Formats: sequence, C-alpha cells, structure tokens
Amino acid sequence: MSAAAQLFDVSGKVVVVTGGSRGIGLGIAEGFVRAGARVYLCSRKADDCERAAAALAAHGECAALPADLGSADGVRDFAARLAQREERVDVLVNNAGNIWVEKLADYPESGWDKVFDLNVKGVFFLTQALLPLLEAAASPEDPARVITIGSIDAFHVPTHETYAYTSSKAAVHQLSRHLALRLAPSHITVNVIAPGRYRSQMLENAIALEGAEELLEPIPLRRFADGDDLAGAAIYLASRAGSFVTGAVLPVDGGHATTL
Amino acid sequence: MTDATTAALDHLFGVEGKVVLVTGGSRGIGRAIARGFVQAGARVYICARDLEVCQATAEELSAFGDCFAVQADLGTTEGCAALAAHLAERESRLDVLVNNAGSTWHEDIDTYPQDRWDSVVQVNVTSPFFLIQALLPLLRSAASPEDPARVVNVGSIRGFLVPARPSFAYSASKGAIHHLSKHLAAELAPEHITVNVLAPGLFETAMSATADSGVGTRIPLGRKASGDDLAGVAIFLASRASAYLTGTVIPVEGGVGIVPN
Repeated sequence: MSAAAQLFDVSGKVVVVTGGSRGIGLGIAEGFVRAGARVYLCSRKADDCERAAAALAAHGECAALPADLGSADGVRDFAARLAQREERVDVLVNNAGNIWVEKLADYPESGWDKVFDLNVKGVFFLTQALLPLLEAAASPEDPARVITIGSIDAFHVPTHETYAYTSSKAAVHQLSRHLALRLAPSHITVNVIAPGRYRSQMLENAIALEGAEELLEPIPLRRFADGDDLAGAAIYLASRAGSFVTGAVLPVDGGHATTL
Repeated sequence: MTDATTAALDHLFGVEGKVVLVTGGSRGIGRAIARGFVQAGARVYICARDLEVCQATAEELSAFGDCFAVQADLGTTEGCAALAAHLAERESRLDVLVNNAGSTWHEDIDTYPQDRWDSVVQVNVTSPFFLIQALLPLLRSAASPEDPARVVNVGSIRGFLVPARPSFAYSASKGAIHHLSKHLAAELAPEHITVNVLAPGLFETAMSATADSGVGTRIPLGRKASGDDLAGVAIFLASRASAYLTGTVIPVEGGVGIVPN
C-alpha cells in the first residue's frame, strides 16, 4: 500500500449516505464504494435508491435502504433496519436535502417546513438515532465521523428566492458545530462540507435557462464541482488524515464564496 | 486493499512525482509535512536558515524517497529571491509551495519591541508573499485546469481565536496570512493556482511551546496534532481531491475553535 493510500484508507468502513441516489450524494457514495467502503444509500424513492445502489455495486459494496428522513417515523424505521444489518457505522454522511424556490410574498409555510424538516430536523434526529452505531465504531485512534453537507449559501447570500434553503443550511452548519463539541468526548467528529455549484440535474436545468457562462462567472476557478471534488473532501474527513478535524466547515466552491 | 481500491485512492490523493517546496522544513510541522510528501513519492525540497540541521533532516527523509536541503534566510525579501533562483536552477516547475516557516514573540504590551514585531511579520506574512511572487513562473509552469498548482500557507488558529498570552505580532500576522491567502486565491484562480490555509492548533514543536497556539486550551478531541494530521491535510490540499478548493482555511486543531469561553 502506498503512503498516500494509508493516510486516506477507508476500506472496510461502514458508510451511510443519505440522499445518495443522485447529485452530490451519489458522487460521494461512488467515491466511498470505489475506495473499498461498505456503503448504504438512503433516499425516499425506493426505485431510484435500488437502481443507484445496483449501479454502484459494480465497483464494490453498496446496498439500498430507502426511507423518508423528513419524518420521525422514517428516521426511526431507517435506524432500526440499519441496526439489523450492521453493528457499527463508521461514517454518516448527512446529505439528503430539499430546496423551495418562490417569491417572498408567496413563500408558503408548507414549503418552508418541507425544507427545514429534512435539512435540519432530519439531520439532528438521524444523528441521534444512529448514535449507538456511531459510538460502536468510535475510538480515540479512529473516531467515528459525521459529515454534514451544508452549502456556501449558509454564509453567502444567493440571488435566488430560496429563503428556507439558505437559513436551513446556516442552521445545520451551527448544529454540526454544536454536535461536534458534544460528541468529541465520545470520539465522534462532526464536520460540514459546504459545496458551491455542483453539476447536478438541478444545475443542468439552471444552465438550460441562464446559460453556463452566466453561472460560471462568479466562480474564480471557472468550473462546476464534480463527484471527485466532493468525494475527495468527504474521504479526507473520513480517513486517518482528517481524524483531528472537528467542528470545521470546509467550502468546496472553486473560490465562489471563499474569496468574497 | 484491492488493486482497484488503491488505484481509486491514488487517483484522488496521489502526489507522486510532484515537485514540492516546504519552507522551514527541517523541524516541527514543516518536517512532518515534508516527510508525508516524501513518503507519498513527491520530490521534496526543504529549506531552513541552518543548513546543517536542514541537511540532517533531508538525509533522514531521503530514506523514504527524494528530499533535498536548501539554505535560505526567509527573514529578508532578498532571501526569498535567492531561494526562488536556486530552485529555478534545478526545477522547471513547482507543483506545491508550502509556506510553513514562521516565528513568534511574546512580551507584555508595554515593552513589546518593534524589532521583534518586524521580524515576526516579515517571516510570517511578508516573506510568504514575496516568495510566492518570486516562484510564480515555476508555479505557472506546473498549473493546469485539471491539476492546479498549489500554494499551502500554514496559518494558525490564533489567526481567528484570540490567544491568552501576549503574542501580538504572531496573532496579527496569522490573521494577515489567512486573509492574504483569500486575496491571492482570487487573483491566481484564472491561472489555475489555488491558495489555501491550514490552521494548526497545538503541535509538539519547539515553537508551540512558546507560541501560544493552544497552550492551556482544552482540546475537545483530547490530544495534540500529530505529524500524520498535518501531512494528511497538506497532501489533501496538494491532490486531485482538493482541486476545487481555493481560499479556504482548514482548522486542524481537534475542535479548539468550538470550545466556548
């Protein structure tokens, strides 16, 4: 094994990626599967979840565990099914998220709640429900890891009318830091990856409307984030190399918000 | 680990064959970072004021791969130019510059001396700026959209957390290098050169015994930073995995930044 491989080794780790059937979650899940981890994908639509897991299983170990993490029952049920299959969770990637775009005057409470239920409440209660499995994986030499996917929109104000999204991401950044302090004595680290513009289906739609040039203009590195960018940051935080980092927010944004 | 697994990790985190310069690389954090790069197969130059100490470290690290010692006095801007000229004679490109050399001074505010202030600010901010300037041609030669050249500046948690001890020039200079890094990240992004900061907390070195980079602070993860922690973040910042990061400050401090007062 090369020295680099030793510092970043995550082979054999049990990894849960919520919202792992597409977008950033899928990119991160693929990185962990290729790196030899045993990965569970969780998403609301069972078909999508099964299909994504089957595709990733071509590169290693990946299974689907569909669940609605926007509800308390869904979270409890998911944790129970996972506990039947695994005695420990080394890495929890809280990636599942919702967004709602609507004009300020019309912004509905139902849309607001939908976003907060998944982006903040879901993250807190899933982490709570998985604590026994995370504690079982944790040791001083190799802490268990919680990685929350936040957003640069938590500290960088966008021009789109996504009020619940921006404020829910700011909430989940601070929640992660609070949990980091609480869980450090249990040897569980909690960090945030704050992505900028990722080449997802949502972004493809925006490109079709506004054009790629327009969307790239504010990004100093002049490209969108890809799967390797997000998987790279997540594997760093999950490996020996990242084991002394906790309560950190790591922007992966090509300089979009970091150089303002 | 299977061959496919190793190949996946090497794709994301491999730095084999990269040309790396670590300033202040003969001891402490610089040495740990240099060691990590040498073990990962990079071609590593370390510099220090004391050539003998530097050569001894390079000789030791050469057991794992390529490591070369260079004498440099980064206490002056001329010293930065001389180091860049020396490197340009030996290499046609520089993939990774780690500005690690640093110094500190503690003294009561009433007597804090200007000569010490000047030398701390020179080594911690002024010299990194002029070394980057002098090395730009070599960094540009290494830069591409797929694999940017990297500048990694070693800052400190004391760049954003107020120290308990009177190390005024140190905390101010670390705050300055953090912000300078963001400024340079914006400036150099179009040339495919990224600039990031790693901000260590307490590490067992000669300097941290007096630098107040975490002395007396409760560390939530219950230990000090080890060589692997620093080498790990530096290699991450030099690899494919971080090619989309620029202008970031990565704290490597075991959670000191989230401890309430």
